[in-house]
Amino acid sequence: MTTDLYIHESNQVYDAIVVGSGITGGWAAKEFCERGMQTLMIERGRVVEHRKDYITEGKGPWQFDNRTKVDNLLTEEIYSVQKKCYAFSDMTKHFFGNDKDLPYSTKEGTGFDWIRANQLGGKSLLWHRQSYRLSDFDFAANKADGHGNDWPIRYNDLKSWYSHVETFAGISGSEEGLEQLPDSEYLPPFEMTAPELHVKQKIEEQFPGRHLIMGRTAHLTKPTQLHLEQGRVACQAKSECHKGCSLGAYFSTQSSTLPAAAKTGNLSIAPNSVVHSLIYDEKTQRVKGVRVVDNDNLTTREYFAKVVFLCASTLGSAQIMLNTKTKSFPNGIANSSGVLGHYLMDHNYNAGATATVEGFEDEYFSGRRPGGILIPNFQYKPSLYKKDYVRGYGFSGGSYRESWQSNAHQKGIGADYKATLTKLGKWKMKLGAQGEMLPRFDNYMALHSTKTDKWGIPLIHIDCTWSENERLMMADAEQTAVDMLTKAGLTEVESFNSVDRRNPGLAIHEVGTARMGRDPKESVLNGFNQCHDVDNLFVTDGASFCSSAVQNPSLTFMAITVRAVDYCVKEMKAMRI
Amino acid sequence: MPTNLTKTELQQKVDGQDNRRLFMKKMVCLFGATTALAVLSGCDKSEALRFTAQGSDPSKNDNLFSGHELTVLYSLCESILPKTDTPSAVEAGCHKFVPHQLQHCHSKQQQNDCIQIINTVDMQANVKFGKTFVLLQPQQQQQLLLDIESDALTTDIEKSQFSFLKALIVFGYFTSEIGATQALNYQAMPGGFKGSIPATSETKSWGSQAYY
Repeated sequence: MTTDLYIHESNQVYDAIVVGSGITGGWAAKEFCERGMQTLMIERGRVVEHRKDYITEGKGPWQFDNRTKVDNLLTEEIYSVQKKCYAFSDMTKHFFGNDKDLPYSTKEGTGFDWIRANQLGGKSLLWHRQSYRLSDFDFAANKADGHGNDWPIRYNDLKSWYSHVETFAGISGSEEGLEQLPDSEYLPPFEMTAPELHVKQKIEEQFPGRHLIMGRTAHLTKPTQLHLEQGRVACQAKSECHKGCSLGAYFSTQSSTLPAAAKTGNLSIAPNSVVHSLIYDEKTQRVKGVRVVDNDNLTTREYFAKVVFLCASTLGSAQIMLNTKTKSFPNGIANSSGVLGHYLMDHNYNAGATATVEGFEDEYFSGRRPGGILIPNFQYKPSLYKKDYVRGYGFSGGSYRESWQSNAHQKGIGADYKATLTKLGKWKMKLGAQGEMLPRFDNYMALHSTKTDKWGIPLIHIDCTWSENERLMMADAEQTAVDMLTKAGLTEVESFNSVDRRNPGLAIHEVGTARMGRDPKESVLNGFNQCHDVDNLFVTDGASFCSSAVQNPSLTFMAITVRAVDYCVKEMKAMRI
Repeated sequence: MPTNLTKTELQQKVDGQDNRRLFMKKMVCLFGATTALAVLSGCDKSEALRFTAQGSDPSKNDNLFSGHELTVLYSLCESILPKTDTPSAVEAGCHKFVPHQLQHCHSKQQQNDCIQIINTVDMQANVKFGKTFVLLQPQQQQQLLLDIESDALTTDIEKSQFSFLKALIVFGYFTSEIGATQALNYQAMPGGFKGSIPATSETKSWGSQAYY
């Protein structure tokens, strides 16, 4: 790593500016750097150094003042939204955004829970690491049933790029040959437990067309030479990933793309640099760079480049574009279509069921598997849709043995009760639906008309709600989960449905605010994530999605990003950008 | 009310029969007449009371619990998760953990629920046995708590208050170093995931969790 990796002021005109350092920004930077391009990565938050800044790693719960829970007053003061994230705790809170400093508003009567991770590495430090390819059924879904616009790309456009990122990042999984969930380049899958294998067999017998497979995760179950060269070693199944992993056993910017980019000598990083807006040149109709407000002292500065890649998150990238108002683009740069900020989607993780697996008392597991099983979407094309709603859902889940965490509320006092809590309880199996959310113009983010944040940037204002399609889907998913577990022979089946209680946002899979499309009149980006209106401006994060599909989106962020960089560099070399 | 007595000093006073009168005087100062009277009624187990003398330091618990309530909490911890082949909840410090955690991570309502149920427990001890919960025999304490969980005479609110407090003690125990590593089996570095290992009825749960 070069000593001048981090910069503050610079008059240099870089080949490329990459705004954001999360999964998407990390890949963009790596790919530019490896193609010989002088690259400036801009990060609004602080520097987080691999290993050194994983300050809670390896600590037991007793080493936290509140036993991993976060102090009430602190939570209310600065984590009022972040606290809703499953991974938020005293072990991880330093990697979550500060809601007091980062306010946003939602339409009265609606809510959107926006989870932020504003530091070097972004949400790549906090992600759930589930990694799935989209299939042709996903890319064709909008066209097939008329919701949203047609993706301008198909599976074959991304296939080799998926392979490219998978080989480098390291994805564990099993060959399944499913048409709705194409296989990846795999490291060995994590093992299933005995009850999971049992339930798999029963469900696949009872429900032809449904499969129960091991989840695919960005963990080094068996690192290759390529991974070892990145300084990464095998996953030890601690499942404390959100604290940061010094082993580099899961993919993050810090463990993987950042060192690769830095190794080229072509990378510079501007941390604590909040991008206010883009600098647009009306004469050349190109962006020249970005205007930045210092995260700490609020001074302003500018950075310049030949191309700009926005990788600042679905809401963040759209905010920067909407806040770039020019003579040609009074409603936000590259927004001649008027769809910028619209078609906001998340995933709908709001229904499922838990049940008891009888028997298997002599079975246990060792280690903490950092992921669970998956039942891939079995309603992935119109002929498989249910009658009263469109699209589908998959289930994630897994088995566990009840412990003190599940049994503390059981009746009992004294030595027997204590023994019960320390011994192995019943085997339980949980299935949680992961539903697709339709792209709707009415679900949108805009800039607040009056309020600004401490950096002088207009607040994001969000109006995003579940539609009837999502409600009907969750009602069905709840019933289906019960049905599957029951028919698999499980007992004590208990279901849940929280679609009326939980806001969109908490799946942390927000996508769609600057969608791709063939028609510049109804989309912001073309099939290479390049703005229709501005040749040297690209958006390669979730903002570019045309539909949400049901798969966890990060692997696709990676693939579309490297494809866009490849295209961009070729266009630059051909002097078309 | 703070005390300047150290634990050792206090213990010496407790241990010395001659100083019993002085100790009682201190007790009245610290906790009021009720507790002191309870102690006068036959104090052969002063562990809980000794703890309270320390625990009533206002800088530590901000007086969420009165001194007497702390003694009842101490006894509740001991009764719910007693010493067996592994240490008790008190040995794991749960009696200190509960006030701390309630102060820092729980709502006013939950704090009040705990105060109420502690007093309910003590009141029932007084009604049934004529003395404070702290001074009951271990079997009497356990039976009284089992009754609160199951008795038709206990209200649903009381049952749920007790269940909450009990779960908080359990959480404190199994997230303590003693609970996680002695009562349970702690894997700091599992070395990978195995989907199947043999287990018996004696196998301990993993004390190490990804989420608490």
